[in-house]
Amino acid sequence: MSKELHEMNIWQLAPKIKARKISPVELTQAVLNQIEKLDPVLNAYITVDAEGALEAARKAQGQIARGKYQGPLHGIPISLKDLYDTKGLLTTAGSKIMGDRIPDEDATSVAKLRAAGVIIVGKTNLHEFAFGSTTQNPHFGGTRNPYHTDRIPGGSSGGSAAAVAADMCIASTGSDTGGSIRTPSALCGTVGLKPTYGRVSLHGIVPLAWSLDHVGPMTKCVRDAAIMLSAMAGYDAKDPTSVHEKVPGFARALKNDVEKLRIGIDPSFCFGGVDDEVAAAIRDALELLEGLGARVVELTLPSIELTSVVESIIITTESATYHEENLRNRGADYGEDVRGLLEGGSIFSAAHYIKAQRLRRMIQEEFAEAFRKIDIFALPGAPIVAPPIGAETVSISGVETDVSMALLRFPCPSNLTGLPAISIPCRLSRDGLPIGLQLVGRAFDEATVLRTAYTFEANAEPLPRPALP
Amino acid sequence: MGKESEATLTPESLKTYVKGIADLDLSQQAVGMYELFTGLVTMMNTLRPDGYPETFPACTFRPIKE
Repeated sequence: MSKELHEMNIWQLAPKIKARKISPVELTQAVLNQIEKLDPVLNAYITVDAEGALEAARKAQGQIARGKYQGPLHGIPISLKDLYDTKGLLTTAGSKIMGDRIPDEDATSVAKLRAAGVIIVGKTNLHEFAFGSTTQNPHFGGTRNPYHTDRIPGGSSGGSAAAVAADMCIASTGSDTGGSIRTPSALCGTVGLKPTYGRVSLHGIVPLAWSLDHVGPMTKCVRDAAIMLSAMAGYDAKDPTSVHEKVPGFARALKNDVEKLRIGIDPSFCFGGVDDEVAAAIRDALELLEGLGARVVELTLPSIELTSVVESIIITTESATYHEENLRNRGADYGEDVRGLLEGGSIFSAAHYIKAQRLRRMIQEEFAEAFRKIDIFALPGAPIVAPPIGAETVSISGVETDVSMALLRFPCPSNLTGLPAISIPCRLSRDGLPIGLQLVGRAFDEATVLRTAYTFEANAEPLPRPALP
Repeated sequence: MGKESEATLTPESLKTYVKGIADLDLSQQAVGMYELFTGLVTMMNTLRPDGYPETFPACTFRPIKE
């Protein structure tokens, strides 16, 4: 059965757009139709810019007709998490505080994506100020998981993940301070890549916690993530954390090959505090990669269990600093959960923060040491499948566990270390909910992360599509 | 917060502390997270794991490139 236009991915569409077999206008219209059909159910978007998207699509179509094809993103309709600044287009960060904010400049990554020819169809819903993992937003409503609409999509980039999974865009973007790209990708069955800290500019991104924030692509497949990353990455003088580092053609470097690749796991961390079905899926995934020639190496990272505590101190303290004035003067304009967490950041002392940074350095050193023996570190994308909307706790192997703390467990090691990490679909649970596999690599070695993910994707059963109307 | 104040921490003393230190009126939601926050305070006050670095400079974060 042939795919509808909006169901296709970037690498399937690009050659057809280049050859003028598909026009950016008909593709954009197909995506807008899908948004019109499904967004009332999923609430993945805060803003849909149909007029601006169609105008950009007509412009792209004209350029391509004149032989000025710009590459694989030319004419591709994408969405952006609503904390990426977009010139002339509402950017709320999912908040009432910034509810009418219209930036006069694009974020650097947005400018780069536009220069590559993308069409921006709209801005996606998120947990308020990206501080939470449920995307149940008190100001713009909650986003629902396309695989089960009574479940959360994860967060904070839940709107982006839901939009990608439900074909309401061809690709999207997210931000990741404590798993906000990888958690919703794992829970919605999509691909989410958090690049190395410094790889993609943070200029024009509403911050959550400066030293932990990352931005990156959220896509339908690994190759698309590689294409998007190449467009978004690169040094930016406007961002003091940006790093001078060559940007490879990530998509061209993809190979279906993990021969002799050393994949590390820390079994007590990887399989501790994890739902049995998720643990079984990760074991099977590692077995599949071993069958393809990789070698699984068991190791121990002595301080890895401290990562959630260290992350919690840094994220609340830095975010409380950013929100200091608004917390004092407009506290009632925050959602209750986010306000509580931000205020909590004021409880910790400077000594706690500095101690957390020193512990962080220790954790970085342990990972650096581990990566002398391995090429990839593997763990679950999330320890659980998507919980029901409104659930505050979830039972993991019979132990009632706080949902937010559970979802923080596996992403935060690579927020603290700045190492690149991807979540890719592994398989569906018995209840039909996606399970994600997470792969972490050396700093600035997204190429190996993408190659491993691509090989897994090429050899695993593809996830069935969500059963939506 | 030091060990002395930790020993006497209650939701009410936490509100007074935050008002004094940050000029912030803690919301009911934050007070509801009292156990989470005081748990983190206790951990940070006592944590000194094997290999804890006494000499690493703080706040000079960079990714480590192999």
